[in-house]
Amino acid sequence: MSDATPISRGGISATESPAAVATPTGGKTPLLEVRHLTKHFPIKRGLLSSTVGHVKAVTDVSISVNAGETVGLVGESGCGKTTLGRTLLRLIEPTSGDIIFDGVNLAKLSQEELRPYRKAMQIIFQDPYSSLNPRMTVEQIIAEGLVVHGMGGTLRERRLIVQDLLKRVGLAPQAIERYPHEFSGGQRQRIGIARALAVKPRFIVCDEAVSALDVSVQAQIINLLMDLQQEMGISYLFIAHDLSVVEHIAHRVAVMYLGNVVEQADTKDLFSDPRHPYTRALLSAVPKRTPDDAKTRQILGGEPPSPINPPPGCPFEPRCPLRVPACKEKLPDLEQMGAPGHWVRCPLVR
Amino acid sequence: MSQSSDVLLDVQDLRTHFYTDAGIARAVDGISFDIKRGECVALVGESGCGKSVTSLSIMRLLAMPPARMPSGKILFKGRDLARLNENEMCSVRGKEIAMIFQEPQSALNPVFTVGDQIAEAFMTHHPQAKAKEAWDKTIEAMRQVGIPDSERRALDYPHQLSGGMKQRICIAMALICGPELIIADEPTTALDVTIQAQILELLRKLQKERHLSLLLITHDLGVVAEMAERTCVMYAGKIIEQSPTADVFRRPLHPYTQGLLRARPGIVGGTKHRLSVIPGMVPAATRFEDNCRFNPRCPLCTQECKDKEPALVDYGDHHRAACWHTKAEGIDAWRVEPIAKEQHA
Repeated sequence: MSDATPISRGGISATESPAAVATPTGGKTPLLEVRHLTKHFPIKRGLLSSTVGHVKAVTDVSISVNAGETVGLVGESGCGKTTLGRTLLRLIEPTSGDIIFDGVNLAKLSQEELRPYRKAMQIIFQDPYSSLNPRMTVEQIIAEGLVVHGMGGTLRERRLIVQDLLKRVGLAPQAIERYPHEFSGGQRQRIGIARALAVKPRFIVCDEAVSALDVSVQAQIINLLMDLQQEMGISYLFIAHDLSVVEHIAHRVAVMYLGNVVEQADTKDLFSDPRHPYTRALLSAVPKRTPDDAKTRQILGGEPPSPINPPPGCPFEPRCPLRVPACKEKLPDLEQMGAPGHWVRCPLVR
Repeated sequence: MSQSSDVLLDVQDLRTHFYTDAGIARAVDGISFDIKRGECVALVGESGCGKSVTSLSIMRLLAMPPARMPSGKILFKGRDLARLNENEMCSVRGKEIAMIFQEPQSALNPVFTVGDQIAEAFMTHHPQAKAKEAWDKTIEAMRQVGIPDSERRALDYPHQLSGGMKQRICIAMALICGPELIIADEPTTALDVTIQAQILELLRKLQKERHLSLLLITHDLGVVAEMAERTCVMYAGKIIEQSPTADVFRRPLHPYTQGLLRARPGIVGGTKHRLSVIPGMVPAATRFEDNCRFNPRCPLCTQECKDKEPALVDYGDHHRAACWHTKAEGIDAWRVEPIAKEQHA
């Protein structure tokens, strides 16, 4: 079964990290490469705010995103996917690790040096109701990034750019004078997309960007994101908990559990040949598409443990149907299994 | 729908209108369906279709005014809930019909322990009961919904429990008086997929063991496929298709149902395809007209659709749809005319 060459081990040099090797385009340098990224939030208590522990939100995550590629990031609430998305934009400061964007290590830059890169990396948020300032017009919302980065020229030129963006995301140019509350959820999400596009980014983190939308509207937004990718070659990190959306939109998928990537593969491989017991359980928990589908369900008992004191060893061990005593001792490494670029953090399914 | 003795809930021509400054919002506008004993019926539709208002109307939980129910019967075991006064309704609510809400965190009171809240539901309907009895029942109900270590968990406050556990508490609270009908309004929407699977499994088990009827309100066709024996698809305050569940998926008759099924992402036949979208959006509830309310978004729309309202017609096998153009063999609305007008959404 395993034609895997034993490569990556925990603390090896970054060039051999799964992210670097696991790109489908082979030798191409990825647009974004995250190496061993870790974010542990300190928990402070008491008068002197002494640190009493850490929330281990993201631990040693390595992923890469190529130009024009969509990488899906799935996992349940609290698994660290949102923290990862925000940390790699440095909206949250990483504890350690490298974020290499277009050859530059963003983790090492000062805020001042980071500024030009902020244009290239944007984010679309989940909740189209709370992510738009209710006191700003659509024009002010979309043009804000242009103003901040000194792009877009005069007021009149900026207005043309904004109107153009609105047309592009499927809204009427007349919308510039209106306020967010005048729009439906789907339309607001389009405004959020237009705002992200305004500064001509090369990479967008979509953090549950379609999760709050009804299915028919969700389809419109997914199509829009895919069209934009085709026209402009934008890369996405697509964070979602809805596996069917990720299956549809992503080229590659990483599955997270309690701050760790447990499996990473091309979308097709992941969905047709899931290896990690958690991935299998996750896929099996998705409701069937029609009542006629034969589906054997493996219901996962329990809930993810707290990231404050994660169990030593494999984080999935307490819920895992395959667990053996050794799982408690050490966090397994990501190993390549099956198809090229398919990485799994579980020695039991090798 | 046949009027047989095992029908537990029979909703007939229910209308719930809201009198607002912007006009009359006909949120629910003449819907009829029934639920038999031990059966799970799903009401499915997108935001604003009236599915939640339907459930709140059945429970009589809407403030009137602004809400009004100008017509309709809600026959529960032959008794018309729409005609009961508040006192009579209180003895039905929670005891004979219980409800589970979408967000367990807002359905629970943060300043009481979960055990107290479950016990309160019991005491309300058994005022003579002793505290000890109520507490024992509480622990028992918690055990039945799969809460480990329930004596200890009963002393927890809602914030100490996870979302899945909180939803189990809500289910325990719904079950404690032994209702015959449970209305579950998006019971798993706020939960993760593995927890959703646990909760659905629990509901299915309880339904079977206790021969409960379940009215499942959801926007998720996958949940419908998992749970419901019969399905009603709602659009703009109307039921536009009604059928045994398997047949809705095999042979969707209404163009809206077809559009919904096709808009679901996922790989079909191993290749990525562009998702079909339903162009446009649901009209505001104050602007509903007496015609086919789907007509502005429908690829099959003709003058007839704009002028007259189609009735629910039976196309065989208890499969009914309200469309002027559909046929029993199921016309493929979205292939007839390729979708080219999604921009104006």
